Amino acid sequence: MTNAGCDRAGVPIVRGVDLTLRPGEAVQLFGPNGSGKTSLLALIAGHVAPAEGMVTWARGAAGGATQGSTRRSTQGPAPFAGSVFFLGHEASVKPALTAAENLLFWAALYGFEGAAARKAVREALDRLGMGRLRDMRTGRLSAGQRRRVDLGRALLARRPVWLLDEPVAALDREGDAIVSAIIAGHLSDGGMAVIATHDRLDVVSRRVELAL
Amino acid sequence: MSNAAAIACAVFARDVKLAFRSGGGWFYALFFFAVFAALSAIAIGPERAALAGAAPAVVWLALAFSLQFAATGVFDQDLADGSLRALAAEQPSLFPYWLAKAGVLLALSAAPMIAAAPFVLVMFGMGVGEGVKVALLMALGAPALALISLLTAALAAGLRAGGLLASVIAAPFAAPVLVFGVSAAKIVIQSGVMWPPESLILGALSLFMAATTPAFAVMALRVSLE
Repeated sequence: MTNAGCDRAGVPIVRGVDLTLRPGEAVQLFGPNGSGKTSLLALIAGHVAPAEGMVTWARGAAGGATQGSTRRSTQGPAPFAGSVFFLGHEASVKPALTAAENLLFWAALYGFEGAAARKAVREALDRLGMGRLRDMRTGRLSAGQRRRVDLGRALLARRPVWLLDEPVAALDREGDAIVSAIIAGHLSDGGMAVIATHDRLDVVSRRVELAL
Repeated sequence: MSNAAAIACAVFARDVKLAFRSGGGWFYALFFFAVFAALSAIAIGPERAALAGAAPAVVWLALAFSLQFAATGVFDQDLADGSLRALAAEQPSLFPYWLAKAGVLLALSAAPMIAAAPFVLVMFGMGVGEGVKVALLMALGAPALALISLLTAALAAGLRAGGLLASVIAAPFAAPVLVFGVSAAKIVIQSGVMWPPESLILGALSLFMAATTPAFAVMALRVSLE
């Protein structure tokens, strides 16, 4: 992908944060609880409008870039919503559905159909090391395993920018390694990621510290 | 299949699956409907004339309350776990999502209640034939009640004690449906004429709610995401 990405944000809660993200880059946000890591992700995702400053997104190769900005009304998705995948705090997997059923639902949403959806879900679960547990109801899985199923949505969404809120919380070392590998794979495909976490991640190229 | 239709189908299929797996959660509203009617019959007493006179009002009230009960909190889970936000990011409109929720409410809550109505009416000394006629009238008015309940559920999404607020908001909108539903049922029982003018108004109310509530419900869901 030849995406030239550019995100800049400045908010009072977080104070002026300048951040530029280019293809293949991952930035880690860290700081104490309440320092605004999640707020910043929500701002980049376009869930909230910036109080000051702006978030811009330039797409495309040299010349003729289409521009989007989040200085916008609150109706409808952000101009670049189709480029962003947001993994929130809470696992949005339904405990009564199996891992495969949960991901099949999202696959349908992200535009897969029929056999292609089943194939994509199988591949995603295998990459997450969850292939063995695909037909287990997610309510019976551990918190870390549910987290990995949730991350499967990122693989199905195929978006250049991943915004991950505590992606490795509750994960053991093996899960941590799997998630890191998946993020690394995303980056090597020209993707970008902003990751809010306390943990050390080897895949990030830069760290931004947020203070209270 | 267009993306909007795919989303509506996916949400519908998921919610039907969830309804049948959550320990029979879809059944509670139907059970409430039957219990409400049974207790009303007991409270009214064994006098045949009193039971027959009260029957239309009781089944319509039971339908209105049960649908309100069934719709309470239908958006809360998706709102709390971030699914709704992810859906909203995918689609400029939440209409397909709303459509799926309306479909689930009609298929898993309203339809079983309407099917059960003739048997419930037997408790009021009504013949099954008459009961079926009243059930057909209920089928005509049930969409209006279901859509009102769904709109109030959207307005109350994510609020604590939202269910109470929802019933307060729903009450004035449900009133005309009850008025015409009950009077149509009385005419059908007394004269045997199947579709009196009142029944046409019931249908009109359902169409009116179908035309007006989606826009407000979708807007309310968007606001709940702010």
